[in-house]
Amino acid sequence: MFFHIFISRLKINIRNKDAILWSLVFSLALGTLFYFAFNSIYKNAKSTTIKVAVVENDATSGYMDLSSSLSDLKYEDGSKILDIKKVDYDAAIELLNKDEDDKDRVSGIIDLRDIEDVKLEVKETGTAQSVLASVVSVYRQYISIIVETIKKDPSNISNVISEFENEAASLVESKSLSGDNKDPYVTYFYSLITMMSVMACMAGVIVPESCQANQSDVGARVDVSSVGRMTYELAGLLSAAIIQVSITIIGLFYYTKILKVNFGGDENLVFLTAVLSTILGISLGFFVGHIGRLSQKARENILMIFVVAGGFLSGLMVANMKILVEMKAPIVNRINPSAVITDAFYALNMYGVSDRYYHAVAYIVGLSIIFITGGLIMSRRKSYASL
Amino acid sequence: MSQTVVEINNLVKRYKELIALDNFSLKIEEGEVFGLLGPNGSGKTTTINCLLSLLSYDKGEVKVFGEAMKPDRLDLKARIGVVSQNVAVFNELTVYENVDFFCGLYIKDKKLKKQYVNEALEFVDIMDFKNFYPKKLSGGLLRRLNIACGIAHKPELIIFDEPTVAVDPQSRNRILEGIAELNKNGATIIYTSHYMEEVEQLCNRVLIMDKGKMIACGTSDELRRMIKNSESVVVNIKRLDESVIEDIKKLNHVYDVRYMNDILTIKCSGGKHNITHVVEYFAERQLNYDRIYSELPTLNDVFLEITGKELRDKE
Repeated sequence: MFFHIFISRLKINIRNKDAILWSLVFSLALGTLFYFAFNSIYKNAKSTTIKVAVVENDATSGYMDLSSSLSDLKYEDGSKILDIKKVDYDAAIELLNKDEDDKDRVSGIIDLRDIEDVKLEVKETGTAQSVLASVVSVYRQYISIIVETIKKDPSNISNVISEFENEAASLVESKSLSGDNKDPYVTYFYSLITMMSVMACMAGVIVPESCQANQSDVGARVDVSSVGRMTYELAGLLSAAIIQVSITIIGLFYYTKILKVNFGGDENLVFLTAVLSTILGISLGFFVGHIGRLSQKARENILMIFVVAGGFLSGLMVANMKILVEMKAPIVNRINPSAVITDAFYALNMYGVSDRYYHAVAYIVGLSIIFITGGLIMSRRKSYASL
Repeated sequence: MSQTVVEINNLVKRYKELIALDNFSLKIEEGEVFGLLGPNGSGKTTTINCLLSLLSYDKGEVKVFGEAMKPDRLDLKARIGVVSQNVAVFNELTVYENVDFFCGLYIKDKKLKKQYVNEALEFVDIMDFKNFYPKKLSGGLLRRLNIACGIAHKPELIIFDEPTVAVDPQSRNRILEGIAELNKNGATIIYTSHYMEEVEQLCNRVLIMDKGKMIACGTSDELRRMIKNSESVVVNIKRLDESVIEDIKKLNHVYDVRYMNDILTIKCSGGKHNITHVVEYFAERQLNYDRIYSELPTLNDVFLEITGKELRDKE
């Protein structure tokens, strides 16, 4: 019976060409776009040491050895990202205003005189200025969070630092991180895989539709048959998972074999994480597919809102958001599928196979089990109050 | 001795303030073609859904094959086939695959399933379309596919919930013939409709319901005998004096006379040869008419007389 339902559901899913096509287009087209957009940016930025003036005062010069950590930032090839000149403010302005051909000219001034209000001053826009802005943005956030956490919740300081490292690593390479990250723009691909995985919820939400009398005419027909609902739903879930996982794997093959994106250490683990993440996405959809008496369109809209909001809170759209969430409401990062998935990719990217990676994968598997079990409990064979 | 296949006792179903079924009861014996007749919104589909345990109910008892029907009684569900009002098939599967899928929810043996699927397709006469996708089928063919999906597993009790809505006359006749054949082959049939002609043609016994209540139940003849009207004499005649209408009202067994749009309708209660008396009267008065004929009461007349309204919405 299970096999019969599974094969039929597989046929139905495969023949639903629109859904497959759009999932593939989303995956391949955005991957291609990222490749051409970000690869060139990072290649241009790479190995170009940016001259920058750093202004400190006596009070801040020793604080957390900030200027030193800035000068320690390095590209993958070992060359420095920033060439720092420690000067006073007037001298810094003078260096900033020098002619373009002048070898002492700096691209910007990082003002560290007020440690809680780090400033960046630039004269023009360009790749170097963008990198400087990124560096300062992350460090500004870092310092304010550290200061605030020390004041309010010193016990959470390690988590906050950990999340900060995540964000910092996505913008610049830092020798302080011990992982085997090869390319900062890979994080864009991790974000894309995360979105793809979570979007698989759209395949999960339609599984209950075809076996619940209050959701469709076909659902009513299946509901009055002699097949157990759990058997039907698990077969449907498996067929949906096979299709979505295949789409994810095709996407990953495209990134790794065609676009030659280097995901770092163990590529197989990247594939495994993506597959588990896709299953988490389907499970999320499956769970939402059982909630209340809503139209299919309403369920899809709820999921879309959930996916976008989850992506936002996990920092897929706004850098540092995940850190803020970690500070204000850490539970959200534990139950938000996007956050859990990005954490796993980050751990794999930065630390390789580590406790943190295992921890993140355990969260993905755990959440999937919770969503599937929750869905099955809600779908127990029952009579409806209305159809 | 025939077995009671369906027994519903004092069923009450409420949708908030609305009472959809009001202490509704019925009993259907094995081998019957049982008609549930009522206007739209009378509670026919609600009755079926409660019977199948799709809908919960507030009070009452539902038994199928002598046992209490519950959502988890898969053994009872295996003996029931449902042909729903709406076509319930997968657009991504072909005609054959659809029937195979739904039959496979009941029949595990592959060889037997294949045989049943082929028989169902032959039965509804859509074998020539077995590789078509539902979207390529006409409305009538879709209805037939819908029936094939509901009966392929050879159920003992088959419920047809308005299966001929929006179907062309040719397909409708084929469907009705098919249902009669299923019954001949041993299946008990429940047939819900608001088409009285179909119910009269098909059903051994008819239950007329309105506002969730049983209005009347019996064979077509029994139902007709329940009402005053036993015959209507209809005369197509142009220009008629009021005095003629008054005279006709005085004829034996005539209890109602109406003249509208050149049609004179004379309702009679009991008696024989009522049409002869009317013909004799017209001859005596030397009145010319286009046509005269006699009509026996329909189930619509039964419904009209009991409830004061038409059975079917004006279409």
